[in-house]
Amino acid sequence: MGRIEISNLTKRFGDTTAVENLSLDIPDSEFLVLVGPSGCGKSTTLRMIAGLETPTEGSIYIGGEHMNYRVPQNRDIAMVFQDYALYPHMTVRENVRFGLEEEPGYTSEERDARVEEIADLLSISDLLDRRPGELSGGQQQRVALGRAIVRDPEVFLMDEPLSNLDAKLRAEMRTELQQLQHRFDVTTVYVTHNQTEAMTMSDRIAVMNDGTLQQVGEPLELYHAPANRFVGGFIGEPAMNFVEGTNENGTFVGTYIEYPFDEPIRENVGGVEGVVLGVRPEDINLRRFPEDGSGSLGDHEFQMTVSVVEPHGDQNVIHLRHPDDTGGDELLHAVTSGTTVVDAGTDVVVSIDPGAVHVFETATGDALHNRRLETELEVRNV
Amino acid sequence: MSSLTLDHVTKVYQDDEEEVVAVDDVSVEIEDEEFLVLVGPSGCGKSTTLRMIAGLETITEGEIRLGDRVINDVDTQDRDIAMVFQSYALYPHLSARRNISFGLEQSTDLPDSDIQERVEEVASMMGISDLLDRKPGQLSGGQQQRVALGRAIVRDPELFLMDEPLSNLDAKLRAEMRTELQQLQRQLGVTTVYVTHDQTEAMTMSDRIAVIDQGELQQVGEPLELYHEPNNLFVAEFIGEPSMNFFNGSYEGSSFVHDHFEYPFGPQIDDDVDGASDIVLGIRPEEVVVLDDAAVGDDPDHEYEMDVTVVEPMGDQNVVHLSFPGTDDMSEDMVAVTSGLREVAEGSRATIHIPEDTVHVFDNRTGDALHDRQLDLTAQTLQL
Amino acid sequence: MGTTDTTESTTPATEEVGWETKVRYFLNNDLVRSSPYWGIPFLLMGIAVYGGIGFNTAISLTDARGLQSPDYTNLDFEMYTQVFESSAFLSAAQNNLVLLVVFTTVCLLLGLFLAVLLDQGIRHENTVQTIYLLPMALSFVITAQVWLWLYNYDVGLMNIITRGIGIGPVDWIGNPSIALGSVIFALIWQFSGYTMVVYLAGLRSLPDDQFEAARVDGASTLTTYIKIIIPQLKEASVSAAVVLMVFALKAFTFLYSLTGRYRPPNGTDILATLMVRQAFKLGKWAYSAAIATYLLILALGVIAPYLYYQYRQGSL
Repeated sequence: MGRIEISNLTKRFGDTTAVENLSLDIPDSEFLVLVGPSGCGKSTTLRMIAGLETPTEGSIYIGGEHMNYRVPQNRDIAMVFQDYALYPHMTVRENVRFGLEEEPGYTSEERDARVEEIADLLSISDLLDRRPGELSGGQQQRVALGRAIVRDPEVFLMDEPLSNLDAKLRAEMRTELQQLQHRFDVTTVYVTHNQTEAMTMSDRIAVMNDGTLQQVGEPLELYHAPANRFVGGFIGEPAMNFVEGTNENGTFVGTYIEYPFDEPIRENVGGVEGVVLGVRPEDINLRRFPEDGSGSLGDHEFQMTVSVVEPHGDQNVIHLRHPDDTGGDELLHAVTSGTTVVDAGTDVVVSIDPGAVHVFETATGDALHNRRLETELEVRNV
Repeated sequence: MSSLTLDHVTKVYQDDEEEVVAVDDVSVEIEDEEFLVLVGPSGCGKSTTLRMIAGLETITEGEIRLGDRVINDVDTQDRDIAMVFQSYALYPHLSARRNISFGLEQSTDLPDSDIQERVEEVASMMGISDLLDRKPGQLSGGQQQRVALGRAIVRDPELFLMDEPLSNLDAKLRAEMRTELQQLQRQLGVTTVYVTHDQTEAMTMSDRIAVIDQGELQQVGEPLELYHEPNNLFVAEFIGEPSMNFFNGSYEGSSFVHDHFEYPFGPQIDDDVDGASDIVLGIRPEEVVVLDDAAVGDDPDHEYEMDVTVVEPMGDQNVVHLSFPGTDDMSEDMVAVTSGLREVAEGSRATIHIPEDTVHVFDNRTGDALHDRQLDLTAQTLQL
Repeated sequence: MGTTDTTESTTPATEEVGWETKVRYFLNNDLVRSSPYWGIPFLLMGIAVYGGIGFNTAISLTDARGLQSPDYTNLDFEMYTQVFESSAFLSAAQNNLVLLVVFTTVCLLLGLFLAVLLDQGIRHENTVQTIYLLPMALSFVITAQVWLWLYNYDVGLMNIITRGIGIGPVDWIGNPSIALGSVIFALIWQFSGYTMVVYLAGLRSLPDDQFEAARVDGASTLTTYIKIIIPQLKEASVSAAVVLMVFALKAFTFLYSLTGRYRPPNGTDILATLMVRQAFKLGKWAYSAAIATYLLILALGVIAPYLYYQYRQGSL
């Protein structure tokens, strides 16, 4: 059916390599999100799958058939564009029906019926006689989806379809799109630069940077076990904290802090010298620094000063800097619950559990050690 | 530096014989050095309000005062304000240096050398010293943003006006610039009015937030005040991401009665709600407790069995969509947020606890809040 | 780690590709697929324009004149020196340059002035625009007739005005020292509407916030236009100037229509009229072909800076 296999795909534009040696196997009916910063090659990859760009090297197979030499019309795909690309002079009905006009094997009545059926599924039945200009962003989005779905393709390709919507609507459409994909059970490749969309919608995520594939995996796998520093920093909001330093006999030594590694970390890090300590903001625990200055700090604790507090309501993002640091560089971001408020300027004790620490190699960026989860993750099936 | 007062400000547009009220009787007092964020959905009148303050739109009724001076009829050129536009509105044919110095050249008689000195100073503050001789087209979005800010800062105005200045940046850069902008404003101590549709920006950057909907001011207050003590349904829904859960029902015999569940009120809520009939129960997603197993918890009156329909993993937290058994209407959904380290399986059944001290109750007819969650904001401060 | 290990491919990386596939691949090639679109214009251009230029250059190197066919055995640049040494050519070239520079500059300035005025918000601008564009729609032949009436010594409107203000009648067309000016004036009348529309479009395409930012910066309306807005109309100026210059070189039709003969009014002879006269009246084919080449060089001189500008902007 709609299995997509991409092997050693490369695309060069003149001297610049947009996509380099990309291999990816997307099983039938999977929702795969291609995510990365702008210019990372994700859109080029999608456009090669669609047949809008010709690969320089490598092959693309859809449903086991070789696609490189096929024009887009013959690939049995449907694509949703970022700007929806609806035809402004046609009604919604005509827009949706247009996708079917070229499709053989339908009578005119069947086409009309199919349009009604799809409109019903997307709850746009009462909009069918309006023109795109009279619709809101979310409604246009649905019509664009309808036009894609109506052809019943083997593969959906979506290029940042939610990026023109406002935050609330985007969150709604995220869930809706995901449920629709489950219902139609069509292999979907979805391109976005937004890691939240990637995390929440996908079955698997493929992270790209500079034209190369960084990691493919399930959302939580990428979150908790990133393959390298790029993935660690890209996935998660607020982003993972990184502190650069050196590994001296099993202790991390940075400009301001020293952090002794425990046994499992030492084993993984070995003799690598230049290392980066990574820790997620929600894994940093804070308590007030005793006002009389008494009380000793543990091995994995540091004194820091709150520089900025960003209240979000449900949580607060606390920016921390080291007391010795006068440059105003923030060392860490921590997240606390929404009802815990700290004032800027407060001295706090920061503790980082060794179980939550990631270590990356400075030179290559590769992960040497990822956080431990087995003991903490309550796998719960209620 | 000075305070800014909007006194019953109204803006009416003439649109083909029809009168459109864009801003309806808005009164806000913005203190000296305050960072006020005007927030609301698109078309709510927030940008029009800002443009009236800037003098780019006329005021139909009411008064705008900067300090003690009424500025209704003062030309934009003479208002001593600086504005950052959503598109940055940099002059494409001028270098970054000239973009920044243009305002000083026009509005002051400073000699060239002083102007250059000020420009250099601001550029180093914004970290764009080595970009000064480039034209806007040669700069990235973030760099253009800095030049636009530099252009505003260099004037040392009485008032900063910012119209969605971060909306063209990508998410990571936006988060960075948020903090930077906020720190810059504190450092300069210039009264600032900032317009955005993004409630996260409003929450994280402002001293106070003014929420506007359909031209009318809904509520003005500190971020956490709006979050925990919203005046009405609109503010409750607009502030917070994911949004507050709402259930429409009726108030019958000291209980909230909904098609799928009943929620008994304690005496205090009862007091607050007394007299209303059509009410809305609201609860923030992070206050909904998904119990560890299907068993009954400590507060069986406020616990319900629900089906897990969708789980959105965010990493640090999971957004869990729940529905009452036997419904498939998406609008009846409840959203809960759980810790990222807990895995909740889609399709399973869970027990949900809605703690009584976290619920909000609204009057469905007027939208006004009848009861807000019990949280003493001052006592909670500094609670670490 | 983790780059490709989750995606073991089940299809062989290398594959035997048959000749059918190769042909298909060739036919799918972008260059081949798009050939109907670029191929036809390419052929037409090649034959009509570059063929013509080549033929003209070839003739200019011979001594062809009268009715005999050109003799290609003895090619030299004699005609070019002959042309260059004739005073008729030099004065025509001078007129050509004056026409080019004065006409283009005045048209641009006038158009800009009108556009800024209009942009300041005169109501019913659409009708106003059409009024200014109307002259542009007229053919040179009609403009020439209209201006012949206006310039008529006895009853023309221009002389009614000059008499009214007491300078007495002026022989607009007949006086060789005024004639070129009269011609340029008529052409400006015809084309300033066009430059105005080009500038107006340029002004309209500038976002409002440019004006607003300048106001917030404390600039007066005049300063805003001079320092912020007009410099941004460079693109519009360049493209309008190129069109105007090309029309200035084509003023032949206008001049021909003024008299209905190959000889335009005294003092307005330009390269194009000189060339046509030499060729079709006197049959000096090689001689006029050489003039044509000079004209081509002049035209290239006009276009080249524009092309260079486009190249620098990265749009070529």
